[in-house]
Amino acid sequence: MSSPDAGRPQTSRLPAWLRRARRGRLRLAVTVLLVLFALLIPPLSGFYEQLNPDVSSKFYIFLGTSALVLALWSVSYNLMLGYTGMVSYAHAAYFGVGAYTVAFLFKRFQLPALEGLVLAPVVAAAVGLVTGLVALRAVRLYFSLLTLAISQLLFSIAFSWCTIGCDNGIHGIQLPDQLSDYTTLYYFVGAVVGIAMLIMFAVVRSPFGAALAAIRENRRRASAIGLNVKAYELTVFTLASLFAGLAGGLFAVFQQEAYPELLYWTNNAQPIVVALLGGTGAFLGPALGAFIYTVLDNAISKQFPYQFDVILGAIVLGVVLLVPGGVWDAPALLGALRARIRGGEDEEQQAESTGEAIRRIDVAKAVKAGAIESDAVPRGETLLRLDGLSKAFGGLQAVQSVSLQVKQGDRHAIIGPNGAGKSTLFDLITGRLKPDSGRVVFDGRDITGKPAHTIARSGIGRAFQITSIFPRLTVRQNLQYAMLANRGDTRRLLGWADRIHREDALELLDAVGLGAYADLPAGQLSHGDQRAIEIAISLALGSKLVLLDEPTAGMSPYETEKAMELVRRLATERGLTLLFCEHDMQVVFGTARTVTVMHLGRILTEGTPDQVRSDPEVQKVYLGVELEEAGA
Amino acid sequence: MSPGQLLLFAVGGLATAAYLFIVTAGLSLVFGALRIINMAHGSLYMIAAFVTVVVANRLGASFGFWTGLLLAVMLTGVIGAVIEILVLRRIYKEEHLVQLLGTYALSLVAAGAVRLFFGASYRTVRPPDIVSGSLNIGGFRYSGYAVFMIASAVLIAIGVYLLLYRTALGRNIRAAVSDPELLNVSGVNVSRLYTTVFVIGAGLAALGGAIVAPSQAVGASMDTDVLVLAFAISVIGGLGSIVGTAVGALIVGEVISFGLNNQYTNQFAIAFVFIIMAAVLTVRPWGLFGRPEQEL
Amino acid sequence: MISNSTRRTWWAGAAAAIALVAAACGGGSTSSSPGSFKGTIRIGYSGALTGQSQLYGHAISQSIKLAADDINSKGGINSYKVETDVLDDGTTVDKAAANTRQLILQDNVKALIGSVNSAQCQAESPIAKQNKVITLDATCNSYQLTTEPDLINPYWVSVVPNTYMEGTAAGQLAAKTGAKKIFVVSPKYLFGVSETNAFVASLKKAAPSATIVNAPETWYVPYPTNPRWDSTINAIQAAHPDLVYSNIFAADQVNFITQALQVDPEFFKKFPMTTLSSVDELNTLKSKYPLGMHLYMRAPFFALTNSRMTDFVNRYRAKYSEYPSDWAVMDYDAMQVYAQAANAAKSFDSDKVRDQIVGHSFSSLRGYSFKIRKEDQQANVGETIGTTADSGGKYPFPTLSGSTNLRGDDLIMPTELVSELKAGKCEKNNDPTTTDFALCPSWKKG
Repeated sequence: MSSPDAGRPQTSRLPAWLRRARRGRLRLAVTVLLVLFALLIPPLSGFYEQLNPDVSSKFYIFLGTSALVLALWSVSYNLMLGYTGMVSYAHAAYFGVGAYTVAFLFKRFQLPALEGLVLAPVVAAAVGLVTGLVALRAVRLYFSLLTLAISQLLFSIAFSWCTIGCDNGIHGIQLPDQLSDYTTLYYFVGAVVGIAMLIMFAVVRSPFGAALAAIRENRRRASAIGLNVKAYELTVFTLASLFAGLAGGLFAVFQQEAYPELLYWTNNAQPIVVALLGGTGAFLGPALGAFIYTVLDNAISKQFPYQFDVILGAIVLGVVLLVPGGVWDAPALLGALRARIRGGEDEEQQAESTGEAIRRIDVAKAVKAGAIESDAVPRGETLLRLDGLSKAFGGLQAVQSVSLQVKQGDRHAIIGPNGAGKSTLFDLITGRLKPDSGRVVFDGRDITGKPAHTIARSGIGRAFQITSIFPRLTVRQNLQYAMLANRGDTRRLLGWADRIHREDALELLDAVGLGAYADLPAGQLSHGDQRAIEIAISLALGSKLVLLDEPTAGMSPYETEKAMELVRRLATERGLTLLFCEHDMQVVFGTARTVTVMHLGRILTEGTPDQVRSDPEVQKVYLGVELEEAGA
Repeated sequence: MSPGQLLLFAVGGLATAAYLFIVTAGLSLVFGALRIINMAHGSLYMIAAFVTVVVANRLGASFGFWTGLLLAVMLTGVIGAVIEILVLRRIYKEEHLVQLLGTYALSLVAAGAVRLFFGASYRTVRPPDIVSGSLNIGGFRYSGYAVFMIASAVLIAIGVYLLLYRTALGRNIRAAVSDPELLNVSGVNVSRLYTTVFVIGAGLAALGGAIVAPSQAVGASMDTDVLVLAFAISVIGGLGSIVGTAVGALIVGEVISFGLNNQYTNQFAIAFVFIIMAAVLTVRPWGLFGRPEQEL
Repeated sequence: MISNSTRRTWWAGAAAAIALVAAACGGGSTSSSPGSFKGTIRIGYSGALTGQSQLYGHAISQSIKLAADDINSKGGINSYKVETDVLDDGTTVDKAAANTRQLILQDNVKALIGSVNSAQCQAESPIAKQNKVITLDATCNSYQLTTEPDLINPYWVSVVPNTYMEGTAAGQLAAKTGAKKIFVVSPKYLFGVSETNAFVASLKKAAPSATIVNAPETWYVPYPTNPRWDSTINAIQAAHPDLVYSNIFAADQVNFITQALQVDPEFFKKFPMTTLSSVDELNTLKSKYPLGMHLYMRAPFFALTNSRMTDFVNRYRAKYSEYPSDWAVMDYDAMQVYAQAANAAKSFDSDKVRDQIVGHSFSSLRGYSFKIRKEDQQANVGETIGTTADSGGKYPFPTLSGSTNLRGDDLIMPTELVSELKAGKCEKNNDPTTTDFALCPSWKKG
């Protein structure tokens, strides 16, 4: 929310680590309280019944059971929403599939409900996988709406398929005698939910979870660090369906029925509202939300039966507008409130970066810390070859039969006026765009039309023209997750991502002058420092070839010199090959050993800086435009 | 099926399509330009329907309907402006789910408010005389009001098309649909543009509610009745594309019209809509007439 | 940006304070009881106050409050004051089940009033059964609710003509018109399927030569129904039946009629229609409701004239400024059934009260007494049939001319069928939870 404001002094009175510790303790306290409360619901209900003999303790225990299931369902939803940034409207459908699995197997094959419960997540995951394959054809809004279609389709099937009871659903599921007691059932459901939560928690902290966070933060960047975005999304979609199916199975167990309405799209409002109410930013946020929602739901429907929708609407609107971080973020809000009352500054206000990281880069250290790999291809050999690459957008020929060779260890610049097709050419090389014709050969392999993440993994790194980092991850995580992705760790569902490659990341951060900001969210850093992060990510990836799109845009002359010195030394000492485009001619002629000039999608000429500089045609075309631009 | 029957069901499908198009046009426009799934669209549509019915029944006959229509469009436009300025403007930067929840909350509040003002019962109103006749073609009767709805749908389509492709405002809206980032740097007053688009969307919702009112029971649950199909249509056609919305509505209307009367497809006539939606998006993830989304 | 976040903070604080105050105020409003009563008991109703069925649910919530007032003015039940405890299910099954538990376990209600839709009732019944709470059902009426082995609930009492009775009445009504070619329109869920099956079975007996012109698969309109009925209207035009039979209701019926009349003002003269209806549909369309329609209705106040009814209508109108719908009448009766039985039992114990319900007769607003038989705990309530005609300015909507109040005893399901259904001796009709009585041995025999 708060815009980075370069040069502001650090305002808070407490040192950063202390503030973090306090916030951490608060969260830990909330977690412990939540778990304790969940454990104590049955005795508390019993106690309440003693005070109010009219009210059955069973009711609160039952309410607790449904809150637990809602918590599981919502936390599983948050695997997609909060951790990966996917909004699905089919989650209720997988919940329903789970419930139907238990109900149908019981009714048709007299399979005990608990055995059905084992199968429920499996069936839901299978349905999730198949439908996810369809849904993930699309992205963002269209993805969401495709899940809506899938959801309604599954609802229609449940509603019209009479083998599973059509519109009536399936009623009268019986439980084993041991579970017929409300309290036992509660603890049983609690145990299942608890184990499922622990598994999910392990997953979000794992390297796999790190990949999800990267995708949530920045799909483009995630792909450029070598993550197969769709594959991860499909996996998490399936995983979320699995746990939704488990929640649905538990629903069938404790409600003893399943009916088509469970799958109806409006039913998704529940996990969505709950997740948002509790907070999508914390693992247990939705679980907290589930308990709050259950209590609210019960209280409102009792007190205001005729205005239920208005009050629910007002609460949701209030949360959306006032505490978008959910109740879990309320401590932060209270902190702000307290600070306000004391008349002091907002304690939560983070330290601001000064934007001087690049000035502080220790070039020698950075060169050593970078994970650049050795020269696979001998110096001077061709590392990247483009053969007649073309790309048109509608009628506009953005790149037209471009052929180009980039030599191992070279510092190769592409220059040309705006609209020359440089960025498109980079997109074609890195796989963001697919060429209409032509070939891209890298390191002896044809990578034409390969997906972006494959190309990134094969050793082509990229820094974007508009700074592209993971804004809400810490600076350290930015590098660490890039390392995880690049080294193939992110396929692991176990392990603690934050502990892997941590030292490497910190070392690299120190080298590029960002050590002081290691634990700040990257998005809070000033623009210049974010640029430094991006350079560091490129280093962390250990690419053989790095594409830099206007690397020094927005940098001061001193910073530019510093950054280019780093780049030059990486090339000479570590065998890194560079392909960059740049408007600053000083940078180009000071750094490049080969220069290619593009104009209107074609290559105009190529040669050493001196050759290009003295080429009359270049002067005419390129400098003419430059002059025009300058005059305008 | 005889040619006469074929025509009968085709026109029936057209009438359903017209109804769906009229309701969806504004949704799709807002959808495309503001990137917001406006769950409150149905509420605006419902409020307008109620206003039209109340005014028309009060003032009587034809005059009342047209006055009601006008009032409904104006009132709903104002409500739209208020919603955009007070609520949506604060949440454009959030994830689209937050926006969805915000508009969902608004729809809940609106439903409650409508119930409070108008009660739980349904309202009905006669169509204005000029469009209340019916036609006889080849032995079958055709509803004059349905023809009016079809004509209105065509006019609305043309109007929105002209707005989008023949005016400066339309150029900006299209820019917002195809490249929101570019719009930000192009010097257009984005927040005023968004308010304008939302008000136009609300006005279209109101037009829909007013036009639909004489052909349906106007009740406090009509907001959600139409929403899913409206989403389906705007997605099949492609977000923000008025041509796409028209084609989407046409497909859905005809599928329902013919599908319901076939013994093999009856049960699945509604499901077909979603099968088509899934099929279209699987082949063209951006809808029939939409623009591809940048994936990464 | 600081100012923004602090403003947010203030708003949040204010909102929290308001919420607290609201919660505190709301908390203490329910526990007062006047001195003449021993205390207060509650009767619970979870129904649709919002969503698709809100029109019906709303009327029910009004009428049971009126009934509670009347009961209290006569000394309450067992000297306890009666309070109604109304919860909204939003026309969803999920909420209906949750509400039922809340009413029983948290609010400690002594009895429940049945919900509006069959789906909700199917979810409520097992919970009420498990907790032994009497449910007086006056709205959802699929006969499966009282005969399906999975659903049978000894504490479920039906005081509404069930789908068997209504279908039978409709079949007789249709047969009387002499129609030979009949077109069927029905909603695709338990209520519609159940009632349509009963209609078809009854028609076969009453008019063996009549045929149904549309294929059985196309009788049903898929759920959720589309507000445009072009397809069905055109199918009727194409099939050219002598009679249209429908049990679509509420907004569906209003939409269908409205659009059919726009296709052809003479539509229902060309294609006469036999349909389920209620005061709500008549009152919604008012003078636009076509005349000459053959209706079967559960409890239209204007056709069941008697002094108690007149008094009820006057007081209902005075209190709510509305005409009482059929649901209002039946649910008022349901409340009275419970009061009378619990008073007779001198207890709130469900088993004791049930003994005073089953096999006993109750006077009703409908002008006759009905008896709740033990086989399926179904009351022998009647159905009103007639043809819509102008009410001559008496009401703002048409009423029935030549209305007949069919006797419940002539409509109620034969006990042999009931026992076969309850014993699971009947074949399933392609749907494991919707048994079709027409497939029972005794029915097949003739």
